[in-house]
Amino acid sequence: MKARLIHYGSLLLSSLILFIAVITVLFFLLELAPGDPIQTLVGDVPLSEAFRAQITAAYGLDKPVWERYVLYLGNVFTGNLGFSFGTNNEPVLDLILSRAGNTLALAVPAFLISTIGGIILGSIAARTRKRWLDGGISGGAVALFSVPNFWFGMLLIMVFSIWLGWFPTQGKSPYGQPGIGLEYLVLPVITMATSELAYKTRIMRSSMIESLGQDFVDTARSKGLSSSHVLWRHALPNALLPMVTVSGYSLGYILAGSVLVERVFGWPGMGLLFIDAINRQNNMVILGVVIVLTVVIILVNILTDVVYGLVDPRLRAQFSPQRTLPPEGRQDRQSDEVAA
Amino acid sequence: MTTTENPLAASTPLIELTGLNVVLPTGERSEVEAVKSVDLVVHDGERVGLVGESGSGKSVTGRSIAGLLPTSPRVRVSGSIRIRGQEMVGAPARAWDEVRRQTVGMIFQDPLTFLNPTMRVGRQVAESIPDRRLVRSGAGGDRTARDRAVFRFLRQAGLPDAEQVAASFPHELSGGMRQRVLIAIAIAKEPSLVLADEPTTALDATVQQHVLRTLDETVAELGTSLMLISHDLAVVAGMTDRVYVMYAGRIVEEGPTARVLTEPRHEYTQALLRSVRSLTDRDTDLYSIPLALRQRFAEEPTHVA
Amino acid sequence: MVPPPETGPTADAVTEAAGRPGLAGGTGAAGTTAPPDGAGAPPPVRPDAPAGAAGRRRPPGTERSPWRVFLRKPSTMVFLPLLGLFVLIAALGPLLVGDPSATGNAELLAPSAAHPLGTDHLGRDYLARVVNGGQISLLVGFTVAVLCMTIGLVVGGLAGYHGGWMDTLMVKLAEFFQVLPGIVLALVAAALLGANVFIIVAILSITMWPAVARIVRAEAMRISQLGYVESARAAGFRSARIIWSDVLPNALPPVLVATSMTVGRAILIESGLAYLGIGDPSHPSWGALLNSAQAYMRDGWWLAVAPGLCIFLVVLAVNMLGDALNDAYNPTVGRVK
Repeated sequence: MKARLIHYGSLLLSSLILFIAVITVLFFLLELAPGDPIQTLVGDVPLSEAFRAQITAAYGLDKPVWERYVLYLGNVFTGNLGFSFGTNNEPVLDLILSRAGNTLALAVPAFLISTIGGIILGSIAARTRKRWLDGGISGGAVALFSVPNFWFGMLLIMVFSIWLGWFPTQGKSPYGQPGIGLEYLVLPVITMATSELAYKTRIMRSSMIESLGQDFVDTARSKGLSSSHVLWRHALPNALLPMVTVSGYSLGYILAGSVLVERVFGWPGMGLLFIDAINRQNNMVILGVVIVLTVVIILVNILTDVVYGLVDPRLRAQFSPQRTLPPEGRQDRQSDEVAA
Repeated sequence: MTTTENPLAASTPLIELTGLNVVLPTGERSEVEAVKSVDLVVHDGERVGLVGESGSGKSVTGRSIAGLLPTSPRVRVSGSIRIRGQEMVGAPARAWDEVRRQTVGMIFQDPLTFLNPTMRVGRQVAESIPDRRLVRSGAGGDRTARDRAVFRFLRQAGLPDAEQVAASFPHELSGGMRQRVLIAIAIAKEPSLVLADEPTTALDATVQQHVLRTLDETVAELGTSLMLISHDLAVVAGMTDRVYVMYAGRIVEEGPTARVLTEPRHEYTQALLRSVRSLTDRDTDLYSIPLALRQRFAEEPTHVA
Repeated sequence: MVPPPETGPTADAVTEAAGRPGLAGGTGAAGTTAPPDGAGAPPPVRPDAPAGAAGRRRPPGTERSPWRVFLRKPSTMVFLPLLGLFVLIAALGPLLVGDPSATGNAELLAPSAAHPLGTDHLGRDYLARVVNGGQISLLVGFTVAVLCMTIGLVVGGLAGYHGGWMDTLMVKLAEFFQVLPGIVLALVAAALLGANVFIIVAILSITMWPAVARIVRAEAMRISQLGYVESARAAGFRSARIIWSDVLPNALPPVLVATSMTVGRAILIESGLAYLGIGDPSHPSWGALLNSAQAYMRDGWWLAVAPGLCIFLVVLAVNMLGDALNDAYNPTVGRVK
């Protein structure tokens, strides 16, 4: 019990340090950028005197570097991510939150499809004796994660929207209507899910093959259990352990990938906000999106660690400091990254 | 064969291997004949040992009796495996499932890796109890009856705290306890044959003695046959009536355990005994079987009876 | 009994190295987890081997060398020449196809004999543009991979061999780049510092080196525990020399696998950045061509097909070669269950 408390304590602490490290890097990127710091901070637009004064005060631009750094950190931790230079000078956090729902509408289905699909396809590929089936799934997975997924989205638009006319090409709903149209959701979700699906299928396949090769599978077979019982009750639970970690990371990658997918489909989410901000050098929005993304990824990593502790009895019962588990010792990399 | 002095010889043997060959892949394009024309018989109630050094093919022979060879198409089995007279070479998977469910209970070597780390011990034992046995004993297939059976088998395997053990995960138990759990799994189906493959090799010496005694008592209580596979002549000597000696995939000698260990007829058995004695006797120099002799053993298809 | 899996420590290291793809969700890296090809692609069953008969065997030591296994694999025979072809086109093609920015043809011409890939919205020959675009993509991919390999070898070797604070620092740094997907960091840096190709190469190298470093670190840790290294150290050999002569040869196969995956990931991220408009506008890469093609998906489908297909084929080739290399070094026949 105590070991577990220590573990989660150090996990939280290292997450916090990571977060501060990301903010620090962003801060110094800002410092390194050439030109007038105010212009860099808000972007290359004409400034009203009032806004200039507001920024100077908020970020202490007349003070030395370390004070500016502390101020910046303080602002971030109090949820002040700055202001957009748009007409209303909206707070960046509000702007991001207003778009977050649209991004989640893509990311959550993509996450579920890729995870469940990856588990099923990977298990089938690992288990089947039909070489064409395994070859097809494995080959398809390699191909799909070699495809630039924004290009894959363009192909989907050209085939299913322009040529066949089944789905709309752009946007999230008919013009002027609020909400999200289901037919608008299909292609972007597929685009987002495919490369993750390919990745998870591969991980699952190798994890399942490894699990099926474990000694305890022999014990299960020696009981005369049917091969499907051996597969689902014995091999699968053990093969799923690495998938917990992989899935945790995949959410971060899906969110980062939304930048490209939202651009392809003109989907007004956080990714498109990010790209617009980059194109218009709306720098506080850029940094704001990165900070929010970092927070989400770090929270998901913590959650992954907790879930892992719950599903693996070896961790649930007694916390071992190192995460190298016999069935998936090859997952060391994750232990480096999460547990440390 | 020496089974003429065995009164059971007339009836159908429990296990009968005739001219068994097993070829296993060892690399992309290489393979090895792990078992070469092996003849072996186990009768009901008999205790048989199978000794040999690592790589002699004894474990592969044991696994082929339980149908637990790797299921690769590159694993080739020929000859005959008869279980209660039924030919199992080329038999469908269902027939093998039936054999493993009813007839053969296997105990494996490494108590840590052979238990599922994510499943509670009780359930792992319960899975091994065929439903019909519960039904036949009048207990019905319900949960509590099954639990009671699990506790009974765990106790029989020398784990008095059965309730607690059943609720544990394998990593929470000691090596000796885990090995007893494997024994419980093997006997839970009340098999006709307990097939123990190096059951105590992974344990330290004192635990080894306890576990062996448990195995001995359990087999006696249940009246099942035992096939004990080991590299350790001492283990086999105390536990079996009859012994087969294997070398390089062949059976080189077979006979009553006492006779084989006191007056071995085959040169390999003699050499093996000599090397074992040189380990235990203080006044003998360490003896290992010379290479030239090994080569000759490997080439000669001798089968001394 | 059952032959032990012939995976050396490298198998684990390779998988460990998988890191994560930096681009838009999951490309490349999974290749390094190339699972044991159990049921997957078992070696062809020799037709002359009668089932059930005692087969001939090959004494140990006469197994083919991994390199030869790699070179003989069908996927190698397909994808190595394909990759070579792309490199050749990128190197020599621009001399043959004419000026990529010359206008004067009709706009949005479909592919024809005169313009095999058609013309774009300004009437420029698209073949010339695609051939020139490949230079940037391949250059970025290979440069980043070489830089990552170099950084990874040095940092991973030192961290794994010496342990202590060096190791902690490396793990923490690697963790940092794990948290922030490479493409996001690259976008921010390019937006703030400028979008030239050097900055992009630098950012990609900075974010992607941990994949290689992890492998080298694992191998170095293993090696430094071995007895003969201890004795070499006791005999006064310098650690740099031990790393060079003992760690490197063992780590090389998985490092090459990870590096080949890095090429693919770098090309994908670069194309993603260029697609988003981050890159040198005077030398449009394949991704930048796709950026312009977005507006003409209805009237000029060929503008979107050719560059994307090129990216796909190059990345597929390096991933398949990485896979084949991994398989060749980690044969896994005994695992078939």
